[in-house]
Amino acid sequence: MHISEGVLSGPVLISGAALAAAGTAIGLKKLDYDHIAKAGMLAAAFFVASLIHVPIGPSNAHLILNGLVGLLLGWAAFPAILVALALQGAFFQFGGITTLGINTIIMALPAVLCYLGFGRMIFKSPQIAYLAAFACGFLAILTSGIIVGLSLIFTEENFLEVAGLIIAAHIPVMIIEGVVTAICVAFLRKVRPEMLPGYPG
Amino acid sequence: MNLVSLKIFIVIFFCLYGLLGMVEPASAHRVNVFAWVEGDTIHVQSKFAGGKRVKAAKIVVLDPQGNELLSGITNEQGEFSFPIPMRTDLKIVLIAGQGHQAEWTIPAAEMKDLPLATDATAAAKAPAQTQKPTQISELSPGIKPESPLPVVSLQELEAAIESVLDRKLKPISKMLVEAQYRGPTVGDILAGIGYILGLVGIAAYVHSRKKKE
Repeated sequence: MHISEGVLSGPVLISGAALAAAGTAIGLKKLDYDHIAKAGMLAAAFFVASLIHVPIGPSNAHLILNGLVGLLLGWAAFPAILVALALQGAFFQFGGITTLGINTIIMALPAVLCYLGFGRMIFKSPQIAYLAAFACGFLAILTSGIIVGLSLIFTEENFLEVAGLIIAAHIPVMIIEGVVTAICVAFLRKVRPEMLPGYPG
Repeated sequence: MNLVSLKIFIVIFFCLYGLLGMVEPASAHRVNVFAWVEGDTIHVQSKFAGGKRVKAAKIVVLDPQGNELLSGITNEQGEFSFPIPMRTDLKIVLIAGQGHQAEWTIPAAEMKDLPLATDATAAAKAPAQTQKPTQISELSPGIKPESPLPVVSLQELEAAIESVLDRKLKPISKMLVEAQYRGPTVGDILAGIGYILGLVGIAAYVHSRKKKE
């Protein structure tokens, strides 16, 4: 779900970069000393996740993990994802320099939205928590697909078709990400609950 | 407490490492396009990083001013061929959809001087012309012509050499195309993780300085 260089027009790229910069500033402000290591670990996980392929159906999509990153980091997902995307651009030639801003928005905005939407449900009863975690993983990718469609609106001129294609191609990944996120939350609730948002202790 | 987090980190790290070992690193992210000239035709080949061919993707050919000269669709092999529309720098853009795009430029210098002359006529002319000097040298054995005889025109000779070279170099250009599609290596991945660890270290250092102050 990366947008290559040269596809988008200048205004879209600039507004994407501005939004990403704002998000990153908020994220860095909220990133306190205790969460630096966590942010680094999740940035590394996000960096590597896109190499893990899920060969389902005709298309083979890969893990994205932005829902999990958002749930665990909140606003700090912005700097973490920005760093990971910059390194993916440098080492794997995914995306590019000019599209770094818009690609950060595509990945990090849904992450933060999921955190804001579901972060408070993680320490409710297990059923609610796992359902919320699944929804996090699932909806983060869905939202990313919609943002890709929106940012391509000025070039491909058919929002519904593009967004529909991307979302249809990512349905298996959405389900897998939902399951992965739920498993991670279940594991962390037992082992390291203080890593999760809204830790009462 | 620190020991626990270290243990968790090590476990996660090795899990990821194991996953990397099992799944071959490949990506449907990056698209590549490569084009080369063969006679009066330009061949375009397209692939996703990792080697999957880009089927039924749009190819647009632009001149240096950005005007569209022609467009087409890649076939099942991710290839597309078209005759040279005009002798100028050509920009070939692959639009794979969903925001995936790549481009390749062919400079005018790579195209023949005579785009209208087909390969077949050039090849047919060439042997007929090259025979002439040998006949002459048979007629006058022992005497080497001091100056080159203007039997074969320079243009025809060039055309012949170019058509042969095109044919001979085709496998090599194909190899170069293959070499372009290098997926991410384990080295790239470890380098990226190393950068992230370094950034974490810098952030921790900055924070610790703030604390002291």
